Amino acid sequence: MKEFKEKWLKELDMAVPKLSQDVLDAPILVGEVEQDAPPKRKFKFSWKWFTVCVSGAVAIVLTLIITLNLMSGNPQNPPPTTQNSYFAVLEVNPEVMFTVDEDGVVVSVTALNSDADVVIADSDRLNSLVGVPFEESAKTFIDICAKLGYLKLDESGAVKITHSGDEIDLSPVVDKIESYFKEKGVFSLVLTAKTTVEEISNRLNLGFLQSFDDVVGALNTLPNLFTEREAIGKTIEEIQSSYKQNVILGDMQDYIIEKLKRGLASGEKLEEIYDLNESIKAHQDNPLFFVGGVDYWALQSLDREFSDELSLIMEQMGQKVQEFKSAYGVELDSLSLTANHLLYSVVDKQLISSIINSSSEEDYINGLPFIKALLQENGVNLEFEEDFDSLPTTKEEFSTKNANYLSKMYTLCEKDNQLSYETQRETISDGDYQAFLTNVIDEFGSLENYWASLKNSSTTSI
Amino acid sequence: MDGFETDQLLCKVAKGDNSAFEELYLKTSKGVYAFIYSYLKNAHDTEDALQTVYLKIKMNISSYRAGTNGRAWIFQIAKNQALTQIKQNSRVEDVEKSPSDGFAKTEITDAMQRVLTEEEQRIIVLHVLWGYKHREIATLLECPTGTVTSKYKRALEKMRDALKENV
Repeated sequence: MKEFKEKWLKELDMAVPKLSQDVLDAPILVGEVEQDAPPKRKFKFSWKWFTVCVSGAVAIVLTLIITLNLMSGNPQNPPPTTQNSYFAVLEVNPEVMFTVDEDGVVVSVTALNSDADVVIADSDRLNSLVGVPFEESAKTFIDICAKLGYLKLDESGAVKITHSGDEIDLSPVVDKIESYFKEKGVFSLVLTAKTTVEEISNRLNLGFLQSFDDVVGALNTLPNLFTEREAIGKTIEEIQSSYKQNVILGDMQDYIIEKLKRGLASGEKLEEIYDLNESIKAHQDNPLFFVGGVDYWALQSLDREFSDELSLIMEQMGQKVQEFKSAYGVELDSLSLTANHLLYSVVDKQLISSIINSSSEEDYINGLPFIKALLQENGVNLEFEEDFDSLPTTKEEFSTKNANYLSKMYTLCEKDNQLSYETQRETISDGDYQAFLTNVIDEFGSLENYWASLKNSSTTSI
Repeated sequence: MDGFETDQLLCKVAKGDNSAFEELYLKTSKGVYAFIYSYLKNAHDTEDALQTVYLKIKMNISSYRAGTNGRAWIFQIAKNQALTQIKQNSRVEDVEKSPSDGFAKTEITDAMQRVLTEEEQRIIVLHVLWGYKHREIATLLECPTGTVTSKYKRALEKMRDALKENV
C-alpha cells in the first residue's frame, strides 16, 4: 500500500502542472478589490444594493475567466446557453438561489438576503444543500428555515419558487415540499413562477447578463453569502454603515426587542396565573380555607373531589399552566410561580414599553448597554458572548464579526424555536390540504394574491 | 496533508498571503488533480479545471470560515468545477482527446481509468491522497460506510491485478 502510494505520488509529481502564472498573479479577494484594476467591460447595473466599486470587482473576475478560457484554447466558441440548467429562487423569508444542472442536481447555492446567510453560512449545512437533487435540497432548506423559526409552523403560509428554466417540470419539487408540509402538519403551500436569466442576473447585481453560463461564471467568483458580496468594493465607512443598519439596528435589534416583548408577555401571563392561584387559595370550597387555603399544586396532590366551582377554576389554572409551558418552556410550580412573580413585580414595565416603542435609532444605540443590563438583571440572557454592537474597524474584522454573528444568530434562532419545531403536529390528509388550497383561492382569488398578502403583512409587521 | 494544516493555510490565504496560496497548491494539487481526473478522464481538461479550482479558491476565500473543514471546502469547489467542466465539454463539438496525449506518462492513473469505476476511483483518491477515513468518504459521497470499505477493498484488488499485468 505504502509502495503504491509513493509510486502514485511520484507519477502525479510529473503529471500535475505548475501553478499557472495567471492564477498565481490573480488577486486574492479578501473583501477588497485592487483599486488600480481597470474595468474591462461595462454593464448596466441596478444600484439598489451595490456601489460603483462592485463593477471593478466583477470586471476583474470576468477578465480572469476570459483569460483562462483563452488559455484553454476555445476563444471563439463561447458555450451556448445551457437549455436544461436553470436558476431557481426559493423564497421562504430567507431568499436563496439554487443553480440546478441539467440532471436536476444543485451545483451551488447563493444567499439573496441576510436571513439566508444565517441558513447557509455554515459550510456543512451549505454542503448538505449541494450535490443533491433540487427537490431534496429545497426540502432541506425549508426544514432548516422551520428549525430557525423563519417558517412559522403554527401559522398558514407559503413558499415561492421562481425559476429561469425552459420547459422545466417543477412538480417533483412541489410534491416533495407539499409532502413535507403535510407530514409536519403545517398549512403552507407552494407557488411557482417563471423568470428570466436576465432578471436573475439583475437580481444578483451582475448587470443584465443574458446567458446562463455568463451568470454562473460571474457567480462562481463571488462569495455565496449576501453580506459578504455586499461588502466587496465598499469602504470601511460604508461597511460600518451597512453593519449598523443590518446588524445593530437590524437582526440584533429585532432579537432584543423580541426578548423584551416576550418578557413582558410572559410577565402578564404570570400575573394571570398568580391571581388565579390566589383565588384558588382564597376560595371558600378550598378544603383548607379556614387555615388560609392551599394552592393549586397542593390541592392537586390531595386525593379529593372539589365543588363544581372550584373544579372549574382548577381546570382553568391547569390550562394556563400548560399554555405557559408550551409558550415559554417553563413548568411552573408553587415555588417558581412565587419567585417569578416577585421578579416581574419589580420590573419597570413602563420603561421596557418605552424602549420597545422607541423610534429613535440614537436612543436605542446609546441605550444598548443599559437594555442588556436590564435584561440580564431580569434573568434574560442574550447569550451574546461577543461584542456585536460595536462597529468593525477593518474589513478583516467585519468578515470575522459577520461570520461569528451569523453563526450566533443560527444558534439563537434554533434554540428559541426548538420547542415549536419539535412539537408533534397531526399529519394533514390530502383532502384537508386540498381544502386549504381551495379556501385560499376562494378567499384571495389566486395563490399569487395570497402570496402578495403574506408579503404585505410581513412587511407591515416590520 | 491533514485538515488542520489545510485550514491554517487557507486562513493565511484569506489574509492575502500569496506564498501560503503557493504552498497550498503544492500540498493539495495532487489530490485535487487525481480527484478531478476521475470525472474528466483526460489530462488536458483536468489541467484546465485544476487551475480554475485554485483561481476560485482565491476568489471565494472570503467565504471560507476559519476552523471549519478546509479539505471539504476545497473538495466541494473541485467537485463543482469538475461537474461544470463536464457540462461545458458536452456542449463543445467533438474534440477527440486521448487520456494522456502529450502529457506525462501516468501508469497508475491510466490503470485506474481502465479498471475502476468512477466511484471506486474517487474512493481510492480520497482515501490514499486526501487521507479521508472511510466514514468521512461515506459522508462526502453520500453512501454507506460499508459500501466504501468494500468498494475500496475491491478497487485495490483490481489495481494490483492491473499493475501486475502491466509489469
